Amino acid sequence: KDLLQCYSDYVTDFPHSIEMINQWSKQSHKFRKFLKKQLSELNCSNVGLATYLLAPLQRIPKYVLLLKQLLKYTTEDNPDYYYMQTAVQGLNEFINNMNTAIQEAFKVLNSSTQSPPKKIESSGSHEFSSNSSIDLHKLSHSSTALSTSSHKDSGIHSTVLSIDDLEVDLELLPDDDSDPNTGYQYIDANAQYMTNNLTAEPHMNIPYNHFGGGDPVHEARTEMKPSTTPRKIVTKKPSFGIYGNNDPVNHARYEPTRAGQMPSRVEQFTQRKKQEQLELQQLELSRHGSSPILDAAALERQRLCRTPIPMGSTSSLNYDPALLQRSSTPLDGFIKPQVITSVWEDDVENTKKNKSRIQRSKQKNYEVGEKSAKKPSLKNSLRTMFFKK
Amino acid sequence: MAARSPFARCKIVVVGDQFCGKTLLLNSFVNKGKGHEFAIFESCVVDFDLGSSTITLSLHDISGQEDYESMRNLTYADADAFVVCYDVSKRETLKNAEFKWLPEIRSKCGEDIPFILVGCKADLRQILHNNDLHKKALDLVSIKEVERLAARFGAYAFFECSAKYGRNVRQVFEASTKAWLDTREDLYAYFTEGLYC
Repeated sequence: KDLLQCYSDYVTDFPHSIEMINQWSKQSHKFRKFLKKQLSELNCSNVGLATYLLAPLQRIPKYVLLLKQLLKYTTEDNPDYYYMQTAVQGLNEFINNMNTAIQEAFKVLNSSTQSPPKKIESSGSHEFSSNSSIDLHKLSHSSTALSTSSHKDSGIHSTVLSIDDLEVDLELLPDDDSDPNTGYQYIDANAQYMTNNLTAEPHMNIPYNHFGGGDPVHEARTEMKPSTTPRKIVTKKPSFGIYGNNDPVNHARYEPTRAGQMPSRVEQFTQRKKQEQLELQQLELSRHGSSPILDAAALERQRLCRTPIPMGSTSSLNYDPALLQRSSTPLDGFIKPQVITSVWEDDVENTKKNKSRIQRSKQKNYEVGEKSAKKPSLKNSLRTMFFKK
Repeated sequence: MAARSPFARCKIVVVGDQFCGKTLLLNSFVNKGKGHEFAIFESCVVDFDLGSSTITLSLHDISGQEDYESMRNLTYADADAFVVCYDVSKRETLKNAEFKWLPEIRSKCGEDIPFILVGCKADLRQILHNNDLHKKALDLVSIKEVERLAARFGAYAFFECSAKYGRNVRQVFEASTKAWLDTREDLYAYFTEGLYC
């Protein structure tokens, strides 16, 4: 049990440690160099520190699996059977506790990352994040990806900020803020609030300006923020099933509206729907009527972006109008996937034939690709390859 | 020439129900067909060659964490592509893939995260048909169902594979890397040049 306690300490401090790494890697050049050097010495520069930090956590459920397998192959007469059972039970309980602990820790952390300054910190480290740290909000590596995936949320609510805002805020950021001590105070201040808020029922309306307490620097920044950018609270997306408990529509329904505050989620919801409809109309117009002026990059993006298919009530919520604007996805609803079916044959000869066929088709594709286009899509080659089979 | 760039790292997370063959799939891929029946897979890094260029894949498994959401969230961070697994002989697993795993992936990693659908234990299909086990054969997942699901969610590809016999295992990871490459315009050009030169 001492061993498990050691683990629990590790778990509780895990998010903080990642936060620290992010901060310092952003702050000091030396630390970054040091990390890179160490990782390259280990010959694993592609993995990153975060995976190593995660490994001990991921190992515990594997212990459980191992023990269960062992249990399968031991008879009940075995004297060790009882001990193994108790071990499995204990480990399961421990994992349950750990699960909740991680959840709470990350919620606290998220609450801090939710506010603009923290968000910026995470985005500021994203050049480095590809190498060594978990970026919780994972603003991905390239700027094009940033525009399409900036609203990834890791659980609760998250603020949606456009790229321009981030840049503006980065300029406004004073250097003092990156002091780890202030960061921790900030986290603690939020922790209390969040724990209160988490226990509350989902239809509690969240006050808009709840991050401002006790941090004058931050308050100043919120005032400095351009008022043209509305801060949206993205409603919690359904994490399991469509009609699960987290159905955002129901959430919206039960929420009371309050005057003089941020527009409640009902209003947000309706507004967003209206916006969507407008954009849909615009898109259709642009498609059918006047010829849309799209550069090559936009066309590429159109090809790449897969539209989520409308499904029931949640489909409208999954759309973000801001995203639509940026990526300008075609709203056909259906995009056919690359149909790759495996022919299941037990004969060895048949598979050999297939292999040779695939190779032949590959060669053909290469030839075609060289002749016809400079940039033949892998998709098409794959498709042809597997259809010929 | 093995073209290789330092930033070409693809993190693939294999996701699916318990006992649907995720770990075996990974094991048989990493150990080159020698899939031993051992339910543990350490997340590891593999150099994977796509024709003339190689990409480093970091493979991650969520075995044992199926019931623990926050643990899974940790592995999801920074993921580039997903392999969503289901068991061919159990229809439940496909339903779970539809209503649990795919929405979860989408909510955590963005709407247009590339993923592929993989039906594991495809050898069971043959066995059940051969032995005329009709009761069990009713529970088999038909290809049309999967096709529909893939169309609905915009999957890059779907497969059926058997880790036991090493069938289609390589293709699974090939397709997942290509799905990832398709979303990266900068790398896309780089690697296709490598492929077609």
